[in-house]
Order: sequence, then structure tokens, then C-alpha cells
Amino acid sequence: MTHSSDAGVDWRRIGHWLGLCALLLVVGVFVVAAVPQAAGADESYVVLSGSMSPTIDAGSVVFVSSVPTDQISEGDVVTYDRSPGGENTRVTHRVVDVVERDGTRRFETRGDANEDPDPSLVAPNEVIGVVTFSVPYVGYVISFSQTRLGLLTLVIVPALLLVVLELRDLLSATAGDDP
Amino acid sequence: MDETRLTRRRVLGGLVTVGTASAAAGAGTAAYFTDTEASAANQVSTGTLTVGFGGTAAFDFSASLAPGEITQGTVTLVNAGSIPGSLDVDFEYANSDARNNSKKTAREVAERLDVTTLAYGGTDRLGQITDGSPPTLHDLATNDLSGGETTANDLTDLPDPADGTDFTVGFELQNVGYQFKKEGVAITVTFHLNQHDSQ
Repeated sequence: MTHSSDAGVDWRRIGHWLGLCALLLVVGVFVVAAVPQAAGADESYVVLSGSMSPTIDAGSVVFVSSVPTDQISEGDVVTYDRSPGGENTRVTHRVVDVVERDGTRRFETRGDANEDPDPSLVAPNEVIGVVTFSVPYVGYVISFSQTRLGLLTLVIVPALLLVVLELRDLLSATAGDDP
Repeated sequence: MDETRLTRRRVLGGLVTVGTASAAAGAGTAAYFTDTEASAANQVSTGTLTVGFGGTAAFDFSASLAPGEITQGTVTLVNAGSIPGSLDVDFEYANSDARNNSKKTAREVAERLDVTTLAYGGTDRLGQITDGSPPTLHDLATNDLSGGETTANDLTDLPDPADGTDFTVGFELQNVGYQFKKEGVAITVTFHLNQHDSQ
């Protein structure tokens, strides 16, 4: 049953509709990754390695909401930054214990795939926020798009194609009007 | 015009949006630690001697110690002189890593190397180490027995090695995590052969 238009079902139309939905979904995911506020989160980060697998695999994008640190409890997955402003110093690990030290709450963290907790406790001011949700694989595309080749294949070439093809349509339309 | 059509314009427009959004996203990335079971390429190496020795001058320690693994080395000391002496031993360690941007100090590594064997002439000398249970390399290096000595040493008043006495030392890497991957220390063992116990 390849073409069933005669049976009353327009498969071609349904195919287009499904394709459009998929396209909107994919575009939406990437727009939200760029503007995490659109999904109610505060930050989004690409996960570079796999110490939180299988919960969060490398190549995922995590969405992080800043939460008052006194609301963070054992079991939460938090993103923290050991040396704010540094390159790739952010770590996303699970809180395995909350410790009172010198009157402040500190967090012992560990990657789900790690055997041992992280070497030092995380201070409240180092916490960026709690991971609310993550989307797998999207991070790979984001990382790729930030390379020269990625920018070329994902932005420049399709944008040029769009412009060139639109121009061609426009020209052939006016040429058709000529006679 | 069919509003639900998947047109070339829409697909290309979507692709450009994805690409542009991706390029704009990821202002920061989360770097995770990765877990490894084995602690690789820990260097624990070489001693130097001031008295003579029968064979090699270096303890043959493992260059890739894993947590829970023991490395042990032996040197044979000889007294090449004509009068008997009293042997003192001094341990030192220094940072010596397989990677350049070391994350752990030499002390942090030394505190995770338990001394499992410390024998001289077949006699256990672990009892001379005052700190630690079990003592670590750091405890051994800071043992500094000064009682009755002009110069403090980590082991003191061992018998004269005569024409060949084995000195054996073994270390066990504690069950450390991935943070100690590719960390290491170079151990220098100095043997002082003195005429009198008090030196």
C-alpha cells in the first residue's frame, strides 16, 4: 500500500505533517539549548565526559536551574564551578552527602560512574545550580557547530543554499511573467 | 498552498536555525571527571647509597602501581671499609609524575603509599616507625629519630652490613581513586654508615 489516496487516507499529507512536527521539535530543542530560559532553566551545558553515565551520557545537554543552596539535598545532580571564570572547570555530579562545615552547608559530590567521591567538598558559592533535565546527543551537534567545519555545514552552506534557491525561484517567476 | 507541507524552504530554514542556535549555545561546558579502576604509571623509584652496595643501587619499584598493589625492592649493602659501623637510613620523596600538570602533591601521594615491608638483614624494622598504622611513606620520611643521635634519621642504629646485607622496602598503594592516576613520587634513600651509634 504505497499510495492509498484512493482509500481516503492522504499518506503524503500525513508524511509531510509528521516531518514538519519532527523538524519543529528538533529546531525547538536547539533553540532551547541556546536560550535555556525558554524552558525555565537558567543555564545549559554540554556534557563532555561520562562520569555521570548512565544517568547522563557524554554528548548530552544538561539544563541547570539556580536553586537556593539550602534547598539542595542528597541525590540532587548539581553543576558546580571550582574556579569561576576558568576554562572547562565546571563539573556536574550527584550530591552524595550534605555536610555542615564551619556553619555552612557543603556538598560531597560523586559521579554516578565513579567509585569515589570528588576529592573536596563543594562550597555553596561554587554551586551553579541543580540539573533539572538533560537531552542526549544534542551536545555533540552543539560541539560540532562550534568547529569551523560545523559552522560551514550547519550554518553557512544551508543559508547560502536557502538564499540561492529563493533567488532562483524569484527569477524564474519573474521570467515566467515576462512574455 | 498546503500549510502542512514540508517544503525545501522550511527544512533549510530549520537547519540554519539549528546551526545558529548550536553555535550560540554552549557558552560553557561541563567537564566531568571520568572514572578509572586502575591507577596507572605511578612512579616509585630509585635509591641512592653512600655506603657500598653488592648489586644494583636502585630499588626495582613498579612504575605502574595499581590501588591495592604492592611494590617491593631490595638493595644489598656492603661495608667496603675496614672498620665496622652503625647504619642510619634516611628516606626522602619528591614529586615525579607521569603527567606534567600534576594534581596531587608529592605528600598527598606519599600519604597513600603504605609501608608494607621494611626489613634489614631479614629482620623487620617497621617497629621503628613511630607514626601511622600502617605507616605510610610520608610517616617513614618524617620519622626523624633524634634520640641519642647528632643527626636525626628515619631509621637508626642498624647493624653493620658487613660483606652483604639486604635492605628491603615495600609499598602498597592504598585504595585511591582516579584522582591519583599518573601520579608518582621519586624516593631517595640515603644510607649513612657511621662509626658510632650516636652519629
